[in-house]
Amino acid sequence: MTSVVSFRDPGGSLSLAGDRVIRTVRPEGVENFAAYLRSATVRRYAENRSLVTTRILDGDPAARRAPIVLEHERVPFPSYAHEWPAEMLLAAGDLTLSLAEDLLSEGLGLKDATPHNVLFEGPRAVFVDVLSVERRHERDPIWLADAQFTRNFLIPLLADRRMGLPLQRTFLSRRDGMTPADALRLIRWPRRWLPPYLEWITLPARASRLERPALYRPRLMRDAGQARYILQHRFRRLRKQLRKLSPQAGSSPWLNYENARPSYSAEQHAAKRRFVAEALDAMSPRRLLDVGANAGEYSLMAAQAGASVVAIDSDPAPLGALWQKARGRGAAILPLVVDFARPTPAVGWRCAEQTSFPDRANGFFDSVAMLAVVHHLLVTDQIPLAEIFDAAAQLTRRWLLVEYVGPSDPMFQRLLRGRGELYRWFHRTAFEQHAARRFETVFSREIPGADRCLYLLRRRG
Amino acid sequence: MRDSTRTMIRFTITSGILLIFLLVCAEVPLKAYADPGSGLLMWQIVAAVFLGAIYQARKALTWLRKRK
Repeated sequence: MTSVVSFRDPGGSLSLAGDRVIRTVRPEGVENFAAYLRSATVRRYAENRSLVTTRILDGDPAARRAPIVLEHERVPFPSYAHEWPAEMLLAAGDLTLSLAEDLLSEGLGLKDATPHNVLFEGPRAVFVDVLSVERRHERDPIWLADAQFTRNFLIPLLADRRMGLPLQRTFLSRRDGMTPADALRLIRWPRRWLPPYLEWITLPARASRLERPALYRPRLMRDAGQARYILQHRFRRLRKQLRKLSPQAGSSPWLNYENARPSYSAEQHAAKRRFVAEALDAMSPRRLLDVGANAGEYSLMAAQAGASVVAIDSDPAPLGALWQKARGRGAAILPLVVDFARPTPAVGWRCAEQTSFPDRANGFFDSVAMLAVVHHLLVTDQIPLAEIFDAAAQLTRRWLLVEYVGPSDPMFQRLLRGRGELYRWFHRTAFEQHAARRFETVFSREIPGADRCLYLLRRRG
Repeated sequence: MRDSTRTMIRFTITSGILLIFLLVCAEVPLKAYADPGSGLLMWQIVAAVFLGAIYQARKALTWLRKRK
C-alpha cells in the first residue's frame, strides 16, 4: 500500500510504499534538483550521513525531464518535533543552519527551515528534504526562511526554556511553529522589552501591522559579496542565538533518579543490572523499545549489546541528558518524549502526515523493556494490567523484559495516595497470571530484600 | 573612525530608536489573518540594511588604505 506523507511542496511529493521511501520530483522542482545533484556540499553532507542518501529510480535530471522518481534510504524510526527533547530540536536547527550556510558559496540555499525536514537516526540528525535545496540569486541578501526558522526553532526553544511551555505542546497544536503574536500573549512587561523577546517576539508581532505585499518583492544588493556578507552574518547570529538556548540541567525529579536510585540499595541495583545483562544476552535484541527509559541506564546497556534502541519517557529532561550521552558515545539510541499511557496521536492533514506512536511502534521491535514502569501505568494512569500486557504484546515481536513492583514497595505505596483498597488484588501471582495470557516466562529472578521481581518473557504465538 | 561612518552609525541608532518608539505605541492589530512572517521579515530587512552599510563602509575603508 502506498501512502503520500508529504505533498505541500509544489516541487514534488513523498510517499511510503511498504518499507520504501519514494519521492517524485515534478517539473517545478527539476531545476533545483539538478542543482542539488551537482552540489559538492550535498555530497559532503551525504558522506557524513547528515543528509539522506538518494538514488534515482526513473527520469533524467541532466535532461531536465520530469517526473523524476527517487528512492531515499529509510530512516528506521521516524520521529517528530513534538517528541523531541529540547536538545534534539536544537541539533535539528543547528544542522539546518549549517547546511543553509554551506550551500551559500555554491549559489544555493534552503527554501524552508522547519523541523519537518529533519529526522533522527539514533541520536544523529539527518536532513531529509532534498527538495528544500534551491538556487538563489547571488545578490539576494534575504533568507526568506528566516522567519520560519525563528517560529520553529528559536521561539519554541525560548518558550520551553523560559516560559514553561514544553515543545510537545507547541508542536502538537501547531504545524509551523509559534508565531511572534502567539508568543507575545505569554509574556508580560517588562520581559517584552528585553532581549531576546524584543527581537524575536515583541517587535515582529507589532511590526506585522505594517505588512504590505511589497514586503516580499526581491531586493538585490549592488554586488554578490555584499549579499553573502549579510547572509553569513545572519546565519552566524542565528546559530549564536540558537546555542544560547542550550538546555541547562533541568529540575526534573527524575533527572537524578538514576544516580540517587532511591528504590534500590547498591546490591539490589547490581542484581538488577546482572539480570538485565543476562536477559540481553539471551535476547540478542536488534530493535529494542525501552519504555519509561528515564536517563537510559538500560537503554545504554541494550545499545552496547548491539540493539538499535528507541527510549521513551514522558519527562524531557532525562531524555535530553540521554541524547547527549548517546551522541557522545555513538550509541544507537533515539530518545523520544512519549507518554506510554497517552502516546503521541496522529496529526496533520487527514491525520496522515505524522503518524501516531503506536502506528510506528507496533510490531517494529523484537524486544521491549518495561523496567520499573508497570506499577506507574497501573496505579498512576489506572491502566488495567491485562491492557498493559496486551499493549506490550502488540509492540514486541518476541521478547518482553519486565519488572514487577509489588504493593509493599515504598514507591508503590507512594503512588497509591490512599487508594490501597483498589489494589488489594495485585500481587506476584496475579501479575504472572496476566502475563501468561500473552507471554511465557523464560526466566525470572527476585531482587533480594525488595518486593520486586524481574522477568524475561517470550511472546506466545 | 571616519565622519561618514560615525554619521551612518548615529543615523542607524536614531532610526532604530524611532522605529522601536513607533512600534511600542502601535497596538497589535486585530485581524482575521495576520501574516506570521512579515514582522520577522521586516526585522531581517532592517538588519540587512545595517549590515550592508557596514560592508560598504569596510570596503571604502580598505580602498582608502590601499590608496595611501
